[in-house]
Amino acid sequence: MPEPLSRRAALAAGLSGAAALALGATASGAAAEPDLGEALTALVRAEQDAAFVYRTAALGGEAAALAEQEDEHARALSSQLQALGLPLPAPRRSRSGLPPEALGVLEAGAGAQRLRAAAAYERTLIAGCAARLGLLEEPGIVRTVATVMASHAQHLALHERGAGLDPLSSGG
Amino acid sequence: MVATTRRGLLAAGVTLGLAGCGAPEEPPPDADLLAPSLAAALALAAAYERAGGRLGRELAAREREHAERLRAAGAGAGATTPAAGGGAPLESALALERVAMRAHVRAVGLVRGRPARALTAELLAEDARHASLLLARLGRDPLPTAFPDGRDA
Repeated sequence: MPEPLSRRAALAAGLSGAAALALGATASGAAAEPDLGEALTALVRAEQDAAFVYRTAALGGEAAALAEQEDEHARALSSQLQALGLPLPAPRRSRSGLPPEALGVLEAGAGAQRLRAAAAYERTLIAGCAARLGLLEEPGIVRTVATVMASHAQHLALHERGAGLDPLSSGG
Repeated sequence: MVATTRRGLLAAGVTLGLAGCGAPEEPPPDADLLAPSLAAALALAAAYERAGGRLGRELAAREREHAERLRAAGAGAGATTPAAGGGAPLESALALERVAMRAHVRAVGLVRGRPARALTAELLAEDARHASLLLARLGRDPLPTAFPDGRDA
């Protein structure tokens, strides 16, 4: 099966070439996951992590709205996971175990530097959705994941504008 | 954790209903499913060209690229061209972006080919991004929904 869209989607959503190559490798790894439950669990966990990051990172501005949207993503994906009879991941309570890009947001300096880190983080969330789309079959789940991915593309554009980056120069 | 919203529930489940509750219907061929996305991309390219300026030029080029990629994926050319509508150029473009997003959402769940699914998901993300840019330019909330599917943005 052709590798679905990982690197291309990441590029289109606003990645620099080098970052896209790195994410392409990540996405290819994720695409090797054979199990729908594993894919959905990873997606739920990623959204829970994102909500934690936006609640904790003191980004200001739209951070509360972003956290709420990540929670909505997690809930929607959780309902799909529950429908499979699988357990939900425990909500994120601390930064221990967060992926590097999430920690990068929490550890970045204030202002534009933190927004750039948030943009980089959103790119990884987009790549995670893209990589797992190819593992899904049921149209409702596919559409849910596709719209979550689209939401992250909007978050990315918001961070780029906030950081003074040109959202027209980075694809999409 | 905040209570589950109606919107979230809809996003999680409404498309299950699109697939039907009885015997599953055979979806149309991928070429037909992709055709509305192609028609929307072409309408958007024209709308952005009319809007002009750097934003219009850049986004017109992106939409032409969308159209090329949809054609390369086998999209049919028979879909009705969505009307641009009246009003200010950016409002008109936003309305067309929503049309395009709805077309991509419908297609992404039904197309059989993995490359076609990948393409429609990517185009949905790109057009959601465009819609967010337009909303910001228009002084409105750039993130009106957690599930941008063309119904709100």
